[in-house]
Amino acid sequence: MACGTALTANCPSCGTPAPAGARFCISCGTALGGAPASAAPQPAATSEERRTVTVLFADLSGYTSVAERLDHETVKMLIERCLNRFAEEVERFGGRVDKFIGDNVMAVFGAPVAHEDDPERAVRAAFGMHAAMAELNSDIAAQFGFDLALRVGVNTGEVLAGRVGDSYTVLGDAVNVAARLQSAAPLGGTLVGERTQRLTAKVVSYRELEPLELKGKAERVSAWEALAVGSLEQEPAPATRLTAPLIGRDEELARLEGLLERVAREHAPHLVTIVGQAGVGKSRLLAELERTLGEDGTQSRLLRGRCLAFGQGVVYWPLIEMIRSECGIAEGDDPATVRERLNERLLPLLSAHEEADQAERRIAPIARLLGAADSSREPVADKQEQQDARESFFGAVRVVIEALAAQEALVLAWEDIHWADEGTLDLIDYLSRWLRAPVLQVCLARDELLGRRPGWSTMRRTATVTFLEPLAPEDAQALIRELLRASGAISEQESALAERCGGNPLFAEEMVQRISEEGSATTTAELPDTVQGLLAARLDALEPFERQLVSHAAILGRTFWESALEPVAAVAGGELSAALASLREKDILLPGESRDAGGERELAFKHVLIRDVAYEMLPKAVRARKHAEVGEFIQQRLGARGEGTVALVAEHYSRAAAFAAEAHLPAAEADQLRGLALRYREAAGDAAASLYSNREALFHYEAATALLDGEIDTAERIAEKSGDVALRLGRVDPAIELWEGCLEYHAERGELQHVAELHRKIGAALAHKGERKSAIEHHQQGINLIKDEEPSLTLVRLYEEAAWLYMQVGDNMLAIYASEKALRLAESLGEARAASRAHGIFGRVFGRIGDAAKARENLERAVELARQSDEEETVLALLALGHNLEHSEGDYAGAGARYREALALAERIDELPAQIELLSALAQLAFYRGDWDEVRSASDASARLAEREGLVGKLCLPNIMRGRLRWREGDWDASESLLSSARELADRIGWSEVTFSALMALAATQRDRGALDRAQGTLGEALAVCERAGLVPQSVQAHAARTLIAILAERPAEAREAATAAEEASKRVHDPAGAAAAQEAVGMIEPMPEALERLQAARAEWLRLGRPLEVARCEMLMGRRMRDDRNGGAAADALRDAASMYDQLGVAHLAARARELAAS
Amino acid sequence: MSQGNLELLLAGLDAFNSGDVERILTFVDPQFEVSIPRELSAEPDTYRGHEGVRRYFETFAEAMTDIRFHAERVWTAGEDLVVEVLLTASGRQTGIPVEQRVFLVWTVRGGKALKVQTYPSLEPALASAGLPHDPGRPDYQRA
Repeated sequence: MACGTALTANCPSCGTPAPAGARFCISCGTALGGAPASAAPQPAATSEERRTVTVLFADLSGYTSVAERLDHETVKMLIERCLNRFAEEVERFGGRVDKFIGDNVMAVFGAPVAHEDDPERAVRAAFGMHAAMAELNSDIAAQFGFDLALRVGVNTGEVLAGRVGDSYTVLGDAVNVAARLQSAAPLGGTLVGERTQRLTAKVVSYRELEPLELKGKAERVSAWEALAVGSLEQEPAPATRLTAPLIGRDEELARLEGLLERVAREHAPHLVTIVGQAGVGKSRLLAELERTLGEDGTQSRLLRGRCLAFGQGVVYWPLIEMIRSECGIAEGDDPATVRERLNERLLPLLSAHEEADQAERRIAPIARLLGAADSSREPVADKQEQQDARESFFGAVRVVIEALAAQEALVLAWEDIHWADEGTLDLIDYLSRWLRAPVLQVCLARDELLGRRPGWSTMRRTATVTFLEPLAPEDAQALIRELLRASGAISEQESALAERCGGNPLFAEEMVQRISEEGSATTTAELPDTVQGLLAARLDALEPFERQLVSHAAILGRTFWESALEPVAAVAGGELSAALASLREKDILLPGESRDAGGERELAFKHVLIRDVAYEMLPKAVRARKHAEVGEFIQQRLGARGEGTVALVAEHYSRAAAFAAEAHLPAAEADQLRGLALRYREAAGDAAASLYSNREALFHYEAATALLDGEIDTAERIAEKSGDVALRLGRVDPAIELWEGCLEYHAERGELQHVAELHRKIGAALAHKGERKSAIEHHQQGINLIKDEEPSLTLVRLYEEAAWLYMQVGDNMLAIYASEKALRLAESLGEARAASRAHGIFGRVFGRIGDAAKARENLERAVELARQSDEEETVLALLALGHNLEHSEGDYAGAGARYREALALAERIDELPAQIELLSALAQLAFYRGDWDEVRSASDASARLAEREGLVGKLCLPNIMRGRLRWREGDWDASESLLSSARELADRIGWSEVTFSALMALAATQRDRGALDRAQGTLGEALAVCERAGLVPQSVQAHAARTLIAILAERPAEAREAATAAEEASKRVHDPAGAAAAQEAVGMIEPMPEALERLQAARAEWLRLGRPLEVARCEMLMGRRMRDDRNGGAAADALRDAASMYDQLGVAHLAARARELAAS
Repeated sequence: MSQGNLELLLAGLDAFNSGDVERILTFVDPQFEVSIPRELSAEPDTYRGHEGVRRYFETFAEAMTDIRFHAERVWTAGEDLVVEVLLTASGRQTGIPVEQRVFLVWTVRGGKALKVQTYPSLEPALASAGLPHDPGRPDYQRA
């Protein structure tokens, strides 16, 4: 254990390295034991901040009992001496003494300046204090005859840091817990809280205690007793760490390998400095270089030295590490052993090139560095000699390294040189210029180095700087995947994690580690303390004005406009452009991807986590007010520029309101912010809804609802709009529930138009659900409420929607009545949408009664009017037109084009019910052409949507197609089951055309499985539907299908009756498919050769329409007729042709049937 | 049974078909009431008195033309008449011909129609007039 041991320091006067424990400079003799080497961080003149800090309380025990025996002045002197010594330990590790409270010290690590390892610093300081206490006790015991003891408590947590009164301090529960832990600590011991333990477990060994009951804490508090702290040079314990694979660094590794190869070949040194932000993978790259050393057959090895993050007074520490490692010197070795080891390793090497005495002189300063100076060789320290001593030291190091590199190329790895003392940086620079040996110096540094040494490694052929950038997104994602796999953790947010990690492998590793430890599948929001600490330290290193800008920018978001920072610059009086340039230099910001209309460039945080940490550090009250300021700024600057702008303003005001409530701002201020948030949330919802961004709209409305505080009118208005977008998203039940609440509210106020409109909406939603009867009732109620009022849009829509519902069940009288009413009113109001609907209904009714020309004319007019209205309407009009082209004209290509256009529109506006219908319509067209893959994919997509959105009624459409797929496979039971379900669902909706389609498909399955009577019964039901709903074209198909079944059942009279009915019905309508079916039916019953002529005509028509299944059927029927006519050869040919066609279409059962017939 | 009531009915329907509301009103009691159920109208409602009759026909005529009430079959039940009517009409703008079958129960008082109840099927109409499920041969059947 090396706890708390004073570290090697440089002389404050001459800079000469001082050995561990030295009280005077080895060169100039200046006293070293006084002030700590690094100054304590001073509170910045910043306002309050939320910070994660580690708080240390130390209490001096044991003097009260003897105090009565001592003079007050003696007691004061004694306590002061101890406390001052403890303060030195705090400051040595970068902490800040917050206050002395009697014999108690409170210290804070992480405020006002954070370090990435504040918890470790605090625990090390605690060990340092105990060691100091031991030192002090030896004097106290000698002088006064008693000992003092120390209890220490350390705890990590969030606090509010800022000025209270005249002094800077921290407040929060973490402070109280630290004080309580100190009270509970044993004499001479240190207790730490859970977060401190977790963050220092790599370097401190602990004993877990039973959770403690601490004063003022409702629940027991977990506590650990710190037993020992590892050496500063100890490698982090790898036990629980994930090991990131090297991904995305091939180029950089190849560059290093190339440099090493050149160094070895040219026998000349090179200095390469790899610069990159913390965690970007510098050490990982170095480790990979080390792993590959010697793989290419060249002789090389690596010496490593790390600079310490704390105790800036520790000089040449990485060199000490290298020499100890090279010479086999342990940290606790006594001076004699150190000298012996140095001589053993270095003398033979040096003596090969120079006299032994000279070699010994080279080793002497190195021995001094290691605290093992030979007193007989102590130098004299005048000014000139101080300089000489430094050059002599550097020279000695150079010669030693050249000697080490004499046999094989050497890699000197200097890690974290941004923390290096000036001497180390000078030494590295010196070596890069004066070494005459194959030595590749690899320095790893963060960007801060370039702030300290702007000209580092520039303008020299033997030195280069490589900037290691964050991983590319695809590499980051691959890394996350690999880490998740290695840890056994599961996360569905692989890409979200990758984005959040911003290409930083360390952050990726830490976050996956956290997920792995917490077993969470979705944790991406919380920042591990390790990452938080790293980034907070970076922020604290910024200039105060830069820091102010970053804090304000954090409120704006990851990206922002430069001008948004102007108000901050104006108040602070800072030079904005220069500060932003500096922040770009420091890799905090980078130029964004776009410019605004005025050409102003966007800026962005380079890493979203930096923004997050800066944001989290702001107190909630400050966040509330800053968000409000930003909201107002955007609103004034950008005005109403669409959804994005208003949503952004809404977001800022909402956050302002939320933080105002959390921070308990004055009620009037908080309520004003809430009101603004509510107003803009609603406006954002409206803007999103107008763009059919339905999910976003619903999100805004829900957020607005959460902000309500008794504003009843607003609540009802938002509820109604929420219902509107919920319906668009297919969330029918929630929509109805919302509207029913609104209906009651407006009915109580006698607002007839509004109530009628809500009836209309509820009716439409019920129609979506397939509850047609209830839907019509709502429309009727709406109509009756306002039919005697002035004409209104609501009344128009009530009529046209009612007409649509009537038409679906084949009630042509009411459909025409309602649509005539709608059209008349629409024209009087100039309402394109309703007029479009009315023409759509007329078109469908004309289609039904067989007037194809009028049907098309009306449907095209409907599309034209819909395009003038809105996209939702256009979808419906295109669907209706496509339907007409398909059924009335047999123009499947034209129908497909309309369906696809409508589908693209429906997808764009999130119109789910229409998507379900359109996908099924495309599946139907694919069925006509025997494209089974398309049938499957389109019907599956349709079914998935219907199931996902709970639109059960609409499942009838894809289920018909799925039933047909099972038919094709000869899976009769599954086919019947699906088709029966489709029929039932369609019945429930009252959708007669779909009921008919389901029955027709069901009859085909029953026919082909040989259940001819059942098939005939099913067709009877189909005809009843046609009769009830006036489906004349469909009735032709049903009669034709009946004819075939009667033929198969060998019931010629019935076949004749059915064929005649088919032909009669086909004369009443213009329906190409119906005409072909009627020809086919007659061909089945006519005598030869007329029968063949009819069947050939039918075959030609099916071929023209593009329906190969029907073509094959005609071929088979011709074969049958020829076979019955004893024309065996021709019959067999036709049947084989039919079999071949069915083979090509993948309908094996019909192909087999055709072959059977050919063979019989 | 009242032959007079049957004649009144047929004459009344003839008046309906004329589209002349004033003529229609001569067959209608001032206390007249007609109810149209949900199944048979987009605006199910009860129309009362002469004003109600006017409103009913005006509303109908806004959307439809060539409105004809064809009495297909009639059964008498005391002062009541059960009438199967085929209503035909055409869309006013589209000219699309449509039809609807309705079942009416007429209540006649003092030689004028006092009340008309409308049903979508025969059974409830018969039941309403107190006639059996199978009422036998109609008292009137359209040729």
